[in-house]
Amino acid sequence: MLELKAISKRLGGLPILQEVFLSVSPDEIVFVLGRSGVGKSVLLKTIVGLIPQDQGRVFLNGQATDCFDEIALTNFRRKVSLVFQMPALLDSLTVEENLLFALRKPFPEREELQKWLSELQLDVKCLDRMPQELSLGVQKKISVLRSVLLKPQFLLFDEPTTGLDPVGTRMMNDLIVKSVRKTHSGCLIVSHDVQSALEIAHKIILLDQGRVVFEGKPFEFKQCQLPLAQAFVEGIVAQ
Amino acid sequence: MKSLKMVFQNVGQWAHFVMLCFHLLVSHGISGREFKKQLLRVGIQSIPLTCAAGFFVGAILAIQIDSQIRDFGAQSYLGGISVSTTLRNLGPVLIAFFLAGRVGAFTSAELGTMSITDQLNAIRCLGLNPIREIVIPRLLAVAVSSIVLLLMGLLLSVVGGISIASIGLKVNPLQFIHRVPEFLAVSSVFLALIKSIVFGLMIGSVSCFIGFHISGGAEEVGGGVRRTAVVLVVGIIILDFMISWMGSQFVVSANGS
Repeated sequence: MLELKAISKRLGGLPILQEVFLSVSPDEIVFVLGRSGVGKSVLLKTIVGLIPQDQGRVFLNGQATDCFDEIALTNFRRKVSLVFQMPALLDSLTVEENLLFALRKPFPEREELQKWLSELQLDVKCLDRMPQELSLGVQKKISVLRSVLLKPQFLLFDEPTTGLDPVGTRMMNDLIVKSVRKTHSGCLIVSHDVQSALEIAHKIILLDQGRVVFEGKPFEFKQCQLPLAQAFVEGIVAQ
Repeated sequence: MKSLKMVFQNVGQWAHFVMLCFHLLVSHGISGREFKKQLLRVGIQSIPLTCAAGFFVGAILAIQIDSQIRDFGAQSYLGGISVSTTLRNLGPVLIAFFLAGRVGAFTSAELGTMSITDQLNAIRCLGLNPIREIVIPRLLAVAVSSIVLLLMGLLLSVVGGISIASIGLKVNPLQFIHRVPEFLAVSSVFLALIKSIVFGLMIGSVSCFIGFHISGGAEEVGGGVRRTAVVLVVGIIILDFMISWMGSQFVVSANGS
C-alpha cells in the first residue's frame, strides 16, 4: 500500500499542501481532483522524492521513504512510477529505444511491444519513429507504456487526459484501467477531469487550498454538498 | 565581492559535478550505446567544419606573419614561425572557441531543454540516474570529440598554412616545411597536445554542468547557452595563459639545467 501521512509543503512562503493524508491500495484507482494550481502536481513530485516535503511521511508497504538513500530511492521509483503531464519522452531516442530505455535485460520481445501497441491502437511502425514526429496523444500513450513496462507496484499520473480529444481521453482511460488490471498495480491520478474520475475511479479525493476536503466513492462525490465538488459535477452537466 | 563569491561557488559546484560524474563512471561504467550515438552526433558531424576552420586559421596566420616578415627578407622562415605560432598558441585557442560555440552550446541547449521538459525528471522517475544515463555519455563524447577535433584542426591548420604559402604567397612548400623543425620543438607539439586535452575536457564538463542545471523555461535555456559560451571562451583564454606560462617556465628551467 502507498500511504501519505500529514504531508505539508510550502513553496515561496505559501502553503501548497497542508497535512494531506491519502492511501492507494493495489488494484485501486484513486483520483485526486482539484482546481489548477492547488498543488496536485507538487503532491506527486513529493511522493517520488523530486520535491522534498516540509512535514509528513510517505510510506510504501509500511516502509517510510524519507530515510531512503540514493540507491533505495532509485529502487523505490521503479516501484512507484510517475507519468508526467507532458510525455517527457527522450527526443534523441526512437520510440522503441524510449520504451526499452529503463528496462533491464532481457528486453521484452518485439512481439510483446507490438501486442501492447495494437492494444493502444498504435501502428507498429511508430516504434522506429522519433517522438517529435508523433502527435501529443500518441506520445502520451507511449509515455504511459514506458512506465507500465517497468511493472511498477504503483502508477502515478499527472493530468493524463489534458490536451487529448474525447476519443483520446477515452482511450487513455481504457489504457489506465487495462494497465491496472494486467499488472495489479495501484494507481493515483491527479487531474481536473472529473468525467474520467467518475468513470474509472474507485476513490475520489478533492483538494482545496492544499487540504483534502472530500474523500469517497464516485457516487458519493456526485452527491457531495461541498460547493467545489458541486462546481466540478455541474461542470460536467454544463458540458 | 558578491559576484566573486558566486564565481567561486559555481567553480566549486562544477568541480563537485565533475567528481560525481567521475565517481559514477568508475563505479557504474558508461552506457556504450549512448556514448557511441553522442560521439557520432557531436564528433563525426563536426569534422568537416572543424577541418575547414583549422585550415583557414593556418592560412590566416600564414598571411599575417608573411606581411610582418616579408619586409625583412625573412620569408624563408615563414613555415617555421607560422606553424610554431599556430600549434603553440592561436590554433588550439581559435579551434577551441569554434568547438565551444558548436559542440558546447549544442550540448548545453540539449540538456537544458531536457531539463525544462521534464525529460531528466522522467528518467529519475523510471528509477535511473540521469547523470549516468545522459550526462556522462555526453560529457565523455564531447570531451573525446573535442580533443580529436582539436588535433585534426591543428593538422589542417598546418595544411592551410602550406597551401596559402605556396598558392598565394609564392613560397615553395618544401622550403616552408624545411624550416619548421628549427622553430617547432617537441615541447611545442606537447603543449598543443596538452591544450587540446584540457580544452576538450573543459568544453565537455562545462557545457554538461550548465545544461544539466538549467531550470525554468525557454528563456533560461537561452541564458544557459549564452553562459556556456561566455564561460568557455573566458575559461579557454585563462587556461591557455596558464598552460603557456607553465610551459615557458618548464622550457626555461629545462634549458637552465
